[in-house]
Amino acid sequence: MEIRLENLTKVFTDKTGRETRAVDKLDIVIESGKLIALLGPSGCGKSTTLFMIAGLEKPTEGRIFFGDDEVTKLAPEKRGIGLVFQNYALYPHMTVYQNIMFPLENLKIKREEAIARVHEMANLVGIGELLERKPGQLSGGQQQRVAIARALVKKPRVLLLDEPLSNLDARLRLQMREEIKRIQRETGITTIFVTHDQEEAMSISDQMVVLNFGVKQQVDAPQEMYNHPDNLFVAKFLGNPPINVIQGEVKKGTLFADKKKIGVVKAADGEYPVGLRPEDFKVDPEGFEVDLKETFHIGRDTLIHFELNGTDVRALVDSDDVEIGAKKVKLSVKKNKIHLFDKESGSIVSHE
Amino acid sequence: MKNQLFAKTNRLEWITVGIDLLFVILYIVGFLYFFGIVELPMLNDTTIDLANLDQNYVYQTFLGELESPQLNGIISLLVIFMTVSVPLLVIHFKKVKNIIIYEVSPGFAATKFFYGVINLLSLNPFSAALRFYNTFVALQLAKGYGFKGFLKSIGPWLKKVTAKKVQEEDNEDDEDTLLLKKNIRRQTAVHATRMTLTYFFLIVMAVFIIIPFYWMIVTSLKDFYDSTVNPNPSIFIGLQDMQWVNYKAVLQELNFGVYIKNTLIVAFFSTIGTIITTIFASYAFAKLEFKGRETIFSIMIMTMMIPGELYIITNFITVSKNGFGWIGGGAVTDTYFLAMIVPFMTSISYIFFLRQNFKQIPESLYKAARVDGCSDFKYLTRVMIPIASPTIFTITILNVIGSWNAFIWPRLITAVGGTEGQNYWLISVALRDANFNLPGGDRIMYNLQIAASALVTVPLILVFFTFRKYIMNGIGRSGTKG
Amino acid sequence: MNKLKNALWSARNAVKGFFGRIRDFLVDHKLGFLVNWPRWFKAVVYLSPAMILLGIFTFYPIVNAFRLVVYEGYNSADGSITGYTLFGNFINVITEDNFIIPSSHTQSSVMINTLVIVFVSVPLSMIIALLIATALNSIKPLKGFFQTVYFLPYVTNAITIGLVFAYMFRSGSAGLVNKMLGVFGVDPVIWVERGATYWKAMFVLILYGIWAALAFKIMVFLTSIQGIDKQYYQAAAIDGTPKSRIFSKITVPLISPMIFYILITSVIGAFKTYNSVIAIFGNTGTPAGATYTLKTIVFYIYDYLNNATPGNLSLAAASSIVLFAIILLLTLVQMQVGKKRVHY
Repeated sequence: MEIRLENLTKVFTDKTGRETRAVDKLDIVIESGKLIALLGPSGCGKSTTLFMIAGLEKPTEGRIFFGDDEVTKLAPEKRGIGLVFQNYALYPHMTVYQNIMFPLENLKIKREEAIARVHEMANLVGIGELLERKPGQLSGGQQQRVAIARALVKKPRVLLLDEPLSNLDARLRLQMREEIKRIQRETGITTIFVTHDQEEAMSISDQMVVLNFGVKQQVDAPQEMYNHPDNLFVAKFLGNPPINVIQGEVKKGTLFADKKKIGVVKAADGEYPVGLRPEDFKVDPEGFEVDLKETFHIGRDTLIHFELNGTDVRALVDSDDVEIGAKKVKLSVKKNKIHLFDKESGSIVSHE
Repeated sequence: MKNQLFAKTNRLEWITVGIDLLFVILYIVGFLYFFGIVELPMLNDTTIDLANLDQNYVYQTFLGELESPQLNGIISLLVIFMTVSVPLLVIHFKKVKNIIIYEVSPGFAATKFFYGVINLLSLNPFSAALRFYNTFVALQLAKGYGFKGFLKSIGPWLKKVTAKKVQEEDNEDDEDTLLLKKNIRRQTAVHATRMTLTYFFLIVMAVFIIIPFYWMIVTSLKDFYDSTVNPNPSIFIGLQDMQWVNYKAVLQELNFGVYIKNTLIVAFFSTIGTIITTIFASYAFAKLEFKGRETIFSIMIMTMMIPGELYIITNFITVSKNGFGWIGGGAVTDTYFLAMIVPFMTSISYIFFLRQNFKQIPESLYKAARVDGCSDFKYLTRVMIPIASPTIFTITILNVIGSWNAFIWPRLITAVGGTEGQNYWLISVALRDANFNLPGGDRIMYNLQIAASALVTVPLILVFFTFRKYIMNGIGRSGTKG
Repeated sequence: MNKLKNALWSARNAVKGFFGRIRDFLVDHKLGFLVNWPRWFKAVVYLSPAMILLGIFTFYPIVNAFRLVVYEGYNSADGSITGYTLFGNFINVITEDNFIIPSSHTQSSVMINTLVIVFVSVPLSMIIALLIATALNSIKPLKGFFQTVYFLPYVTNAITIGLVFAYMFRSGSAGLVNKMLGVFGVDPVIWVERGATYWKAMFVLILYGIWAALAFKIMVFLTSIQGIDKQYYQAAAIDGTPKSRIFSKITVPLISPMIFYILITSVIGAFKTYNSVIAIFGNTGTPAGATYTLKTIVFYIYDYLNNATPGNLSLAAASSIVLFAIILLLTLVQMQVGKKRVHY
């Protein structure tokens, strides 16, 4: 099921009459059978977008299509969606079985089939043993699985997940990530996944949509987006440790920072914010020399801090190339890894 | 293995609870039977000799011939059994329903044994035997050994206890240690004194609270002489001297049966009404968004401050002849019930209480239900009400207690219409206004008046013991919420 | 069992399908508003049962009380009045014999009685309840038992125990209290019967008031004491603070908001004293043959109500508005103080 958002806008008006544009003219096409991550900092409108797709929020403007059907004004239960909440929203007084059964009560199916489906879904998510328990007796990961089973049991056309992993501890999160990916592969259902964790989004999704203040920043496959960010926001938002942004000057096709030659770029002369990912530096006898402020040897890699044109810069380099106790080191930037952004708009000028 | 043992002790407990239930029914039936055959002494064909209720009769029962004292003794025993076993039954039932395997400990086993002893004392050898046996099943589960192991473990335990003492005495200490020991001893003494004083204070206050109840029960079972005339009333009363006939006289001759029935009718309908209106209103205030919601709600909260006397005045006019005409006139006088029920079919404070509870239910549950195609009404009945059921139950109990204790309003309206109104007295009103005077004299028959009081109080206490947790929770929470 | 469940399931589906078809039909024929209620209408439906009842029996009476109070000579039998007055009813109530000023042959008035109850029984019961709650908090064995015992008066009927109190304080024969006093060699005292002095009768009334009021206060105090962070006590224990100082410097200040709240609600409750008087002293509100009265403000209001003379309902309204004014004042004080210093 392909999902198309056209010019989708949501404006909240508070008591004093002030308007907040939570989602602003969003145009996205989500391919059928893919796992899509809606990524952005908190308050960027990603959950609002999800709830609009679910039908729980009414868009102020714009239209939503599931395939060829317009669903903008359709009630949530008629859209054929499954929704998993951040806090799972399991009914605390019902057993796991009753929780998964609950959505089926509103469908026109036979009871035998309903029971069969409950068992099928419970086995799919791996909670077949726990059907008689109450949510209070389950761990966070198990509750999560129940919530997914409950969302899937209706055989929805679209599965929507609202920050599903944020209530889990770090180890479970890794495990559930893989689990969600597996379930999505097995069912082949179009899935939209909301998160503020870029690492999570990158590891799990086929495509990512980055939002900021309700405005779409970039839509791309994770690695593609990491390597070729469309603007400064996306570049800064992706990656850990985060990208270094320094002020650089281009003179005749060469990028300088603090009179040091950083690399060759294809851009008009002028000043640019330059994005350099920490791992894109390498030790190079031919490169520019920097004074090391701090050095952390962490196994294979070494994290070094230095100052470049008044900005603190972090770089990850091969441990073998940095002597312990070194005060200075010569660095260069790997090929095609210099991101030049426009000073005013922040959008990309060139990846060199 | 452990799971099997757990299943076994659970199964045993279920059977025991079943037997308990059987015996409770037996006690009740027995009580009803023996209480039913108690005879009221007659002065002549129509009047009862209220002043001399304690006359000796010989009763033909299935136990053979019984004289009044023996009958009284049997009834007393049955009443004691009932008061002990009914709350215990509820407790056992709840426990066995909710037990988890980790709760089974040696202490748990010991409690079983203790309850077994109580069973034995209340002439229920079957439950007792099962509980004794079950004690050791639970012990096996908790400690890994059964009855024999238990016997064996007593020896080492005793040795350990005695050995410790010997060791302590043997030690020779230097000065510092002695000082420390002295300090510790003094500290222990201070602590012990403080605890003794604390308990003494608590016991004295508890006695102060209990005395009226005790005196009520004792007096209600006395004869006319000891309760009213005797300048030196007895403080204790033997099982055989308990005059259960007092209660019969109160129920039949002084019409308290009717008043209790009236009260139950009022309590039942006003509670049902209150629950329904409260649930709907709380739901609207908690979950539905509409203009003026907060305004209406604040106005309601503000009216909680207004003393009831202020609106009783107008309500009195409203239900009387010039208003709805529910009291004082007309052929159908059962409308007295309407006047007592309808004004109390809703309650602002309960709406407030339940709304707070509804508000705590996460909004995402509502969203999840919407996505699943669940209507508002279904969401209310299938999700909100079950989740808030402890609160709703608390409200139910508090409301029933409130109706049972209602006095001012029923008294005001049943005072209208002379003797017609008296037929609709509720118990509190009857207690205050019924004529307990000795026929032909102005002396109050205190034994009967106090028996009537006990008749009102005992059900309350039973309800309280059974649902203590709900009642105290409700009060504690409403108190701390402000 | 399974069959039954299947049948129920299909039945529900059928019913749902039926209503679903009706709904679809209506929506198709532009009658959707009949089934798709707007939110405000839903709210009206859910609120109406409670609101209609509250409207008739709570909101209207409040308004009506202010209407009644300006009537002169209102006759509830036929609804006729003889005139209007602005403050006349208030003046009548306040200047009435025994309302504020004791009349010549008596020693007490309704207001004096109420104030005595407020200023004696409330502080006493507060202090005792606080002590009991603290004591309860410091013990472990039997805590639940004591809690239950202390809570008993809360669920009992005010009239019954009032009757029992009156009975226990009987003089002459069958009086438990006098019998107990006799053990200590005290001569029999007349407490509540013919010949009892004002203060003796008042003593029984206040004692009963305390007995009945303790339960709620202990409960609330205990809940709030248990809510205090244990760290305060641990810190105090390490510093070697004596228990009495812990009580006065930690426990009391930390639960002061609750103490204050309970103080105000108890004062309001004490102003509304009625049941205990009528339970112990009956309809006359005083021991037989006494030259004083033990009636309270609320007792007075019901006296007006029980006596259907024209104009009396207006007097009842006036006195209940006076009571309301007192309560309002106290509540305002509570809100003001609450804002300022509730959080220590």
